[in-house]
Amino acid sequence: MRALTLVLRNFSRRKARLILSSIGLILAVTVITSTFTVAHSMQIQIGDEVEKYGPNIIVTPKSESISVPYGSVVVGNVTIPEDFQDGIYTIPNRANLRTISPKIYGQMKYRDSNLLIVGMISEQEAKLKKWWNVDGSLPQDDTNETLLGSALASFLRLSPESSITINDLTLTVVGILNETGSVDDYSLFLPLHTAQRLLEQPGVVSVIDVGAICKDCPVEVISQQIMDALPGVKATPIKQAVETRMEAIGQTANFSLLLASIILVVGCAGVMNTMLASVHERMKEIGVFMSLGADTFHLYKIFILESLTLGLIGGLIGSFIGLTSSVLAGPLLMNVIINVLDLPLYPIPLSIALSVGASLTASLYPAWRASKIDPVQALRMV
Amino acid sequence: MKDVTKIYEMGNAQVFALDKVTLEIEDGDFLAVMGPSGSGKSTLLYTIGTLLTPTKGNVTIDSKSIYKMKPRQRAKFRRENIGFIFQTFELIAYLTALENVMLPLYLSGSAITKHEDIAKEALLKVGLIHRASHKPTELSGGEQQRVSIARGIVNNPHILLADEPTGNLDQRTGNEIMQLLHKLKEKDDLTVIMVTHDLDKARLTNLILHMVDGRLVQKSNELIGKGDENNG
Repeated sequence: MRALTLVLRNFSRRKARLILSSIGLILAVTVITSTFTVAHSMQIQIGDEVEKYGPNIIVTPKSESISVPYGSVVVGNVTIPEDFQDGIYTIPNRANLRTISPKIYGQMKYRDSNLLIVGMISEQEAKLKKWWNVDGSLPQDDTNETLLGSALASFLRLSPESSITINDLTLTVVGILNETGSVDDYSLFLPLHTAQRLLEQPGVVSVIDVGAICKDCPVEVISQQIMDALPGVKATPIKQAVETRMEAIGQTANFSLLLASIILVVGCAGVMNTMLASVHERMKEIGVFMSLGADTFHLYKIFILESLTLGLIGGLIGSFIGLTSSVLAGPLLMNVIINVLDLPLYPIPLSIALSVGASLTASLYPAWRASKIDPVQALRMV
Repeated sequence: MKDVTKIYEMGNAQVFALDKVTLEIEDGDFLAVMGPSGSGKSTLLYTIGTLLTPTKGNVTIDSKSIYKMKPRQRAKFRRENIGFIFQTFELIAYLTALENVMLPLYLSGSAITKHEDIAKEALLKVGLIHRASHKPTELSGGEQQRVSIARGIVNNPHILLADEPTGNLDQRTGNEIMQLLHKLKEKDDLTVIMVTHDLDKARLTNLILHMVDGRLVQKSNELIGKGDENNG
């Protein structure tokens, strides 16, 4: 016979009490597991969204002179050599690099207006700006094809397959970019080398946008590595929004964990209360055990094993409920899609260990009380 | 035991549950302790059973002063040398008969693989092997007491202490239990000390102690042999 047999036999006749005394632990573990699960999934989702937002590092020339604004980025007159993009691939964290999109900006007079010219490598730019929706197609490299922002196309009354001549260069409109709400709506996009020729700036670019594959990756480190590899450039990480959202998730998770801690304390009190009641109810049984030669070690062993079992049951059930409820309720309540396969495993053993630890702590006093029972008095109880 | 006194404090009053009791019991004795309620019979039994520390005096078993031992040593001595039988059997309700008998083996820390065989042997001795898998509630009073006896002897103790073992049984079952105790005493060379109110059962032992107000007032061995006759 083993101590565990005694514990399981005892539990088997008190199933309802077993469940009731585990409820506090189950609740706490449910909250902890679901908090970890939802927070982790939100971080994954934000990481994915960040990738969709476009570049998270912008490489520009080091310059004090400011003349051309493009969106939130300010571009100086100074340019950087086009082949610097190859240098970016030499940094230690190159495995994190997803897309590198060099661009040149300039202004050209067209009739009475100034046109904002953007030279780009279409394929790279489209990878960065996944929200782009084009009627028609993107301009092919080294051609005289052009893509027009929606506002510009409307202003110039141009549509796909029409043409426009700027500085004696006739360009064929191959696509109209649907409204983006950004400066792109007013831009005329050309293949990079065509734009360089038109702007008479061959072999140079104004900016290189870098998209790094990041969930929570060290963009500052990557930026510094780019600056070390390419003297004369400034690599600016775009991370403030991400950090703010990550911080908000962290704060929510911390609050949930605080709530779980309170539930865990209440759960501990529940376990202690149940075990104290059990010691009182089983006083005669404890007297019998002592008459058969049980000492304090045996009694501690039995009660601690009971609490370990309670903790384990609470941990397992709580983890299961926490995971299941996150998967089912996450999309409805938090707008987070949770993929169980993407989740880290550590919250489960961690939650179970916490539940077992809490239950164990709660059982020490009842076990001590049991060891102090006077066997003769216990045996005389009716 | 020598000059053993056990005093209970009841408010300002002192109650002498045992009052300077001096007693020597030989190996292999089968003795009955009789007396009115509150005379100290059970207190004497539990004091010999190493469960109740006397206020004064000394209890020696096999030349060992048991109350000078540390509690854990005393518990070890108890599980190796003493078996208990109770009036209300005190079987653990959620264990089967076999598991109840295995309980002292678990406490002794002996090899787990042998527990079942040893416990079955003890149940065989009390004639209850066929009820091994039954829970106490599925057994009659006599059967429960037999399981209790099997549990008491499973660790091969030298001393078996019985607190009114036939008190909850009818006459015929009570007699069967007495016969079983006699048989085990002879076979296993046990020393049996039994508290009883029943003179007929006491007559089946070879020595009767009478207690009044915590004092041993009479030792009687005039009945020696009658038990054998009755059993015979």
